[in-house]
Amino acid sequence: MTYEDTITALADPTRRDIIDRLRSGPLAVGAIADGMPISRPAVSQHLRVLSDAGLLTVTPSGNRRLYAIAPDGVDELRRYLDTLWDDALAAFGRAAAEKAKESSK
Amino acid sequence: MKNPIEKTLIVPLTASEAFELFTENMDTWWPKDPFSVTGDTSKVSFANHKGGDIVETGADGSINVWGTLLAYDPGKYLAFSWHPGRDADEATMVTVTFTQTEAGTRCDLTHGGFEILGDTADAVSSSYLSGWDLVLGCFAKAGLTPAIA
Repeated sequence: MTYEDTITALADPTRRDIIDRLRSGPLAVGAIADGMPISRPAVSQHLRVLSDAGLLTVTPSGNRRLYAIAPDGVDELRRYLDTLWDDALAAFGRAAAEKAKESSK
Repeated sequence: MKNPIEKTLIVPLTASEAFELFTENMDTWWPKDPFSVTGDTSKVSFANHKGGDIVETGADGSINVWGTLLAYDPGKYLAFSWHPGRDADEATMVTVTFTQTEAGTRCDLTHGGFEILGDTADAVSSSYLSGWDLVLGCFAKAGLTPAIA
């Protein structure tokens, strides 16, 4: 699981809709699909993408599977932002060193 | 996710020089590959006044506003909203403080405003996502930016 997976998973509006439906608590696929304009197999496919990206947890309950928002699902995003600023500031530091060298010539 | 990201860097420049490099000359150092919408052929311009924008202009002329300057205090302090491709009301905020020291200029960067995320579960809420998925997505490499199904 990487931030790319997370971003990819979240970039789809249907999957955001699914996440939104799970905010009030865990649901089975039938309840998630209820009222959505796509087929239940399509919903299942989206649920798999979200689970694979670490954004959902899946818990068996009787003969159903309950989907819930994974508490640590957005950690990858946080790490991604961390990387962004590390890389950006490293580049800034290199440019600054270059500029300092030029002005000391 | 609510705590701001904090980074510190000391550069061998005066505070004025560091400020100028960070802002006016951002285009010369910002890692546009991968952190841009249109890649390393784009140009980044940084306004020189409060209320001005940080703008990426693609080689094809496309415009992507990354943020708006909320504070512009040359040689000292910068604050800007951060919302590439999104509305300003969905922005988080970046501040950079430039402090002259004997060793050079200390640059303290914070990226915060994550309180819009709320609790952990809310961090994956639609409001969070609408503000952040594209922000993050557009900073991923173009090849990683997914097609909307």
